[in-house]
Amino acid sequence: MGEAIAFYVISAFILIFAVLVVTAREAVHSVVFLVIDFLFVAALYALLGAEFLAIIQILVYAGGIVVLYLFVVMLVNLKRPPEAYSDPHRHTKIGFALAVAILVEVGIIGAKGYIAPSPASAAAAALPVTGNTQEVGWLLYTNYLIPFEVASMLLLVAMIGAIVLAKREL
Amino acid sequence: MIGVVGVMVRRNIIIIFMSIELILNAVNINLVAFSNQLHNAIGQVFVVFVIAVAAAEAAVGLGIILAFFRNKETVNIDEMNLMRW
Repeated sequence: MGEAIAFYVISAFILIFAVLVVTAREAVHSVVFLVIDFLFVAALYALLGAEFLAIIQILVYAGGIVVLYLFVVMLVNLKRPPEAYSDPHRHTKIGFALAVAILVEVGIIGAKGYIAPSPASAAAAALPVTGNTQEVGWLLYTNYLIPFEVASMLLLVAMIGAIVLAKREL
Repeated sequence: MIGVVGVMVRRNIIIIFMSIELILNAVNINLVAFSNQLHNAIGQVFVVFVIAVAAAEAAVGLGIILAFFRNKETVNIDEMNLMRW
């Protein structure tokens, strides 16, 4: 019961701050709301029994990615805000309509594609509760070792690419 | 949903990138929720990969924004029409 209340409260905060991120006038305010949103998502992970991911979420998102965004927002010091410039060809309503259409589509897929839990997953459910750091680490370094290494290579390539792109001259 | 609205509606490309992060976060929440529901840690392993890809995407995307801003002095996507013919 208490867990359900906590879940709904955290979810409500996540949604509110997500709306604030999208609607904030200033980019810096948007970044601050994004940090708070990520912290609530981390709380939700902890509630769902994924403590490792909660820590990773705070470290990587709230600590790393958002700081990167802040740096860029401050480097890109705007003389005139982009929203002041209005483009006659801009169709905000169509954007909203497309977003609603995507939501409806996903909802239909979710409603039709729902499959009752198969015996296999029922058997998996009989296993002891997972979600701790040990379980995730075990899977990462055994079954998913090659994707893990590929992800690390991807991060290396992205790092080099970002440096090359942001450098003034090579 | 909110992230998609952000991508479609806003003009500041930095806020569009933040909206993409929101979308990826929504996916992560779904993966963790199913992982919890099905008592299966594979979902959480995938969340780790999604976070890695999101970090890479943010780094490269922000590098592109910086390079573009240095040349054009704008972050307005309506003015980003270099590739239009």
